[in-house]
Amino acid sequence: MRSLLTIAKRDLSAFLLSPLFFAIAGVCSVVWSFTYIKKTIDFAYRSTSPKMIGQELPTYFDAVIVGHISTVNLILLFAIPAITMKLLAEEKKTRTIDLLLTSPLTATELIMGKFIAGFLLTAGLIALAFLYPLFSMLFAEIDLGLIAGSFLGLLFLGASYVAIGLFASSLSSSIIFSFIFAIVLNLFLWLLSQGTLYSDNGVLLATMDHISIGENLFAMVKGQLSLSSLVYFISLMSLFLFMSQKSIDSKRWR
Amino acid sequence: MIQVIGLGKNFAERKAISNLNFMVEKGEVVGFLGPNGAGKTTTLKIITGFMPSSTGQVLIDGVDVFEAPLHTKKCIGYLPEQPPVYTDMRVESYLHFVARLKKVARDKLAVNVDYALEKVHLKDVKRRLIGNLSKGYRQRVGLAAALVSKPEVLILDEPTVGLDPNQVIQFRELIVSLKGEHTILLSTHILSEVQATCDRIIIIDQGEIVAQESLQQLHTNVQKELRYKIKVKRKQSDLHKTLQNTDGVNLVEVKGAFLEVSFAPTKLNSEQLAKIVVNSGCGLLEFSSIKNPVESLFAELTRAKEVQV
Ligand SMILES: Nc1ncnc2c1ncn2[C@@H]1O[C@H](COP(=O)(O)OP(=O)(O)OP(=O)(O)O)[C@@H](O)[C@H]1O
Ligand SMILES: [Mg+2]
Repeated sequence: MRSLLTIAKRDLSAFLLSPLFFAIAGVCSVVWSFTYIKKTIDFAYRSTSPKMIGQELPTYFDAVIVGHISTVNLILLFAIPAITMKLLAEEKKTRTIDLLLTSPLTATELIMGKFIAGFLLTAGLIALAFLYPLFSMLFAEIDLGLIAGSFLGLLFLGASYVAIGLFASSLSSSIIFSFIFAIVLNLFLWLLSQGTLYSDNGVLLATMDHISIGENLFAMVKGQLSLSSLVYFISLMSLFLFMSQKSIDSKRWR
Repeated sequence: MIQVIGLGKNFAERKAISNLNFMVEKGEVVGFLGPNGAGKTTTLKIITGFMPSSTGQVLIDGVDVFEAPLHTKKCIGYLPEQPPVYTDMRVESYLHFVARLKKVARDKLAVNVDYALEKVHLKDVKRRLIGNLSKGYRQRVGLAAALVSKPEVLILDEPTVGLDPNQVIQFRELIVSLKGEHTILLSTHILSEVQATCDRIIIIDQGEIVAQESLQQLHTNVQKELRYKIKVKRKQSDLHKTLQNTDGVNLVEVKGAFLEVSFAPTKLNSEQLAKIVVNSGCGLLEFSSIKNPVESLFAELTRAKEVQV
């Protein structure tokens, strides 16, 4: 446990002292500011448009925040691999892995330490993304429960992306490979739901929906804190953490 | 303290080491000597638990490194070939980090870090970023990291690579000062280093041990053969032939402008050899014995092996 925290603390401080994390956070906030403001203006425009008179308006949450979360997910899909890419690949590249693997800690402690560091940074990005809806609460009425549910959903999603990125980083000493491979894995899981548009096989549709990140995320965003979505994210995370642990261990057993 | 039993390691089809057997007693300083690619690093990596062996086992204080890795890793301080330093950390906080990884008790952290900084003379740079240090200083930081947990066993892989001559001398003094407190196994291909610091040497070549003895024994063994180098003005190849056909001469080699002659002192002495050279009329310019016994042994051992193969 102590080793785990030692690892997490070092990685976290290394990140916070490097410009990379702030560059990532900077890019995210620029994109989010732009899209969020645009969505809000569109919403305001539509609500006052004469065409909408007499029709039922979507809530601010449905019209703006759900869209925002979709954008956040899209950005995280690229931003998290940029955070996780160095976690293990760089240790291998600079041979500091020699120190870690000859120190008295288990592969599980090592992986979990790295995971926690990556997750805390990711949580920082997600908190940044939620500054926008919180700010909107000053002038729009938003259900706090829905916001909390979405926040939780994104945290689980982020944690899954971190586990995937960590696995990609454990495979080689190439940071670029780790970055690209993590994005490929993320995109694959994200796009599973898109594939269902072209099929009418019921079983296939149901399966794809189950293993698609998007479906599970929006189940949580819409306030249905379902057990199956939680189980989905936790299993995804565990699977990739387990594979990372094996990948590090196989270096020892090579 | 360190027991290596029938150790072997294959990388795919390639044999890196095979059937190594040796022991290092508590408090001993042992030099692990061999040419490039002999298998030194491979052996040390197995001892430290970085990677597994293909055959055989390693015991640290009677405990198998693969059955109880968490225990044995705690008693080993390891300096790999490339010092495992984080360039984005400061020297002192890096040593703190290593000490915590090595499970040094919380209340001893500061003391141990100070001890390591002191031993390797790093006090002046302790607040500097490792990335801004020179190669030699990084090597010293790596050495300090190996010492910071005050481990019973120190495994050092070519510890003096990259140090300036002054530092090499300081390093030797350091090893001498650690003698007794720690059991030390250090690899090198610099022979004078072994002579200066080690109680015993193990010579390894092509993955096999070719000699393993104390320095005294080595000196006496080397007495079995003497080596001289000779420089002549002309007709070097004639002299080469004459010497080769002389009774008692084991080997004649051309080394640059010199001829190197090894012979058994039982059959021939240096006076007789000098006489032969002078009588050959080649114009003797220089005639001197090659002094370094370990060096010649080293050359001899590795050469003998090549001939057999
Ligand atoms: N990861 C690896 N994969 C394949 N072969 C390897 C690997 N590591 C080492 N070898 C091979 O094992 C042999 C021994 O290598 P090792 O690094 O132990 O030599 P060494 O004695 O440390 O040499 P040097 O003095 O150059 O450091 C070499 O032939 C090397 O090519
Ligand atoms: Mg080596």
